[in-house]
Amino acid sequence: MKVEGKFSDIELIAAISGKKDPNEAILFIYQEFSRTTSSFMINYGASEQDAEDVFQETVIAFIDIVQKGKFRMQSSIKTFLVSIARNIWRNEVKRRQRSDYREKQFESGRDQTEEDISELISEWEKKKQLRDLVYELGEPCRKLLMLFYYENLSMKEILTYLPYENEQVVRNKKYKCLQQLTEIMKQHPLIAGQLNELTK
Amino acid sequence: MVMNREQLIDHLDSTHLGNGSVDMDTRISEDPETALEWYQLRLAVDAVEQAAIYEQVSTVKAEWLARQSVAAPTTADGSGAVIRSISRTALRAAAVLFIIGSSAVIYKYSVTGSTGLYSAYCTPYELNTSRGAVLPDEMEEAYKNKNWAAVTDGFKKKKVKDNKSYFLAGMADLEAKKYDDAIGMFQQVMAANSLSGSDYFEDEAEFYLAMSWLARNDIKEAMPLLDKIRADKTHQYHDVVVKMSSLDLRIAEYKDLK
Repeated sequence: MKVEGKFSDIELIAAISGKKDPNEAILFIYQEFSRTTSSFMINYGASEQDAEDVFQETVIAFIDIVQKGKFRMQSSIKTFLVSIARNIWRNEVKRRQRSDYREKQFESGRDQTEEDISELISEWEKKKQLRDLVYELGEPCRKLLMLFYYENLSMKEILTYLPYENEQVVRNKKYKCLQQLTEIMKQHPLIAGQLNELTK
Repeated sequence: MVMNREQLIDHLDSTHLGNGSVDMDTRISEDPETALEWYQLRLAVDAVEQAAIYEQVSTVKAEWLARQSVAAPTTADGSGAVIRSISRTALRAAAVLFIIGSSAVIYKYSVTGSTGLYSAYCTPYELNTSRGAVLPDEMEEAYKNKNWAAVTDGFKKKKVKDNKSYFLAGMADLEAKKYDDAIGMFQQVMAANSLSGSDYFEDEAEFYLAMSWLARNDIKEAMPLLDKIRADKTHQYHDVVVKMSSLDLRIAEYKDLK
């Protein structure tokens, strides 16, 4: 994977939303935007490691937002990434219950774009909590579900990646894996709480 | 419930592919129990998507960090050619040298083999400090401490196995003289790169795969890799392979054929 050239904002969005080998686009994001975003976070009290972790989550959130068609290109990608990072870091600071001082600093710099992104990020952070539950599945199940629901591969195509006999076996296995995942999720306090709310 | 689980999953898959039916959506929304089941399934798909994006970004981040930590290329040895004048004394010494040389060739033939080449050219892989590790990595710590068994254990425990973990597991196998296992690990790195179009740990895997074949006394398998590395001046291990004596390689190859 070698980034040969630059991506314009439009090309970057196309590469990520198309899901066809977006690795170059992700690498470009790291090369072009990680330093600026990290410096910004360090100014707001993040350590280098925090900044790096938050930037990773920023990229993940950005990809999710783009792939769900929620990025409206009302700002440049750079501005958008910094806003996402700012929101994620602010929430992280809240979680860590640090001093009010940094919180106030964040609040003073917020504008309308930040308010909009804030909603997207709180929605994404709920999904992020689900992520770890997928790792409670065995590797074959995880891979199978990712190939089907993320890579959008057909049962036939999945056969070339996983050692199953035929498409019907893949279909049955996927059914079982999805069942297993929903069972794991039901046990999670956050999901159980949400489900209780829904049944009220 | 108006729909069973299987029907719901079929509808979920169709919706995921953009072919969901409005009628089904209506039926789901009309029954609270089915709506709840539907909600759980949608959450499960969200979770899978998040995990997939996380793995994708983690892989690229690891590559980006690896590129950043790559040391500046080593400078070429600046020593110039040594010009020797041939004196009469030297001519007289030539006869002696010829005898010594002949003995050396005979000795070389007798001792040169794949495993000898492996011992001569395989240097341990130094793992750079990974500044950006998301979490302290048990496997990398074990590798730095040269605790090969712990590297293998760490690999088995790893939830997300990327090229770096396969590579380090391969190196641990190579150090522990489990050559077949090492070969499998390095081949996995190269196969993953071939599928994804990435080159993450590709150079390292190619070189140490060649070394593993040599260690296993199988120079026929090592030669195509060594030739490829020698032909590619941008390869990280080009300089090492160029230094490998072609005479040694040819002797080992010849002996292997015999």
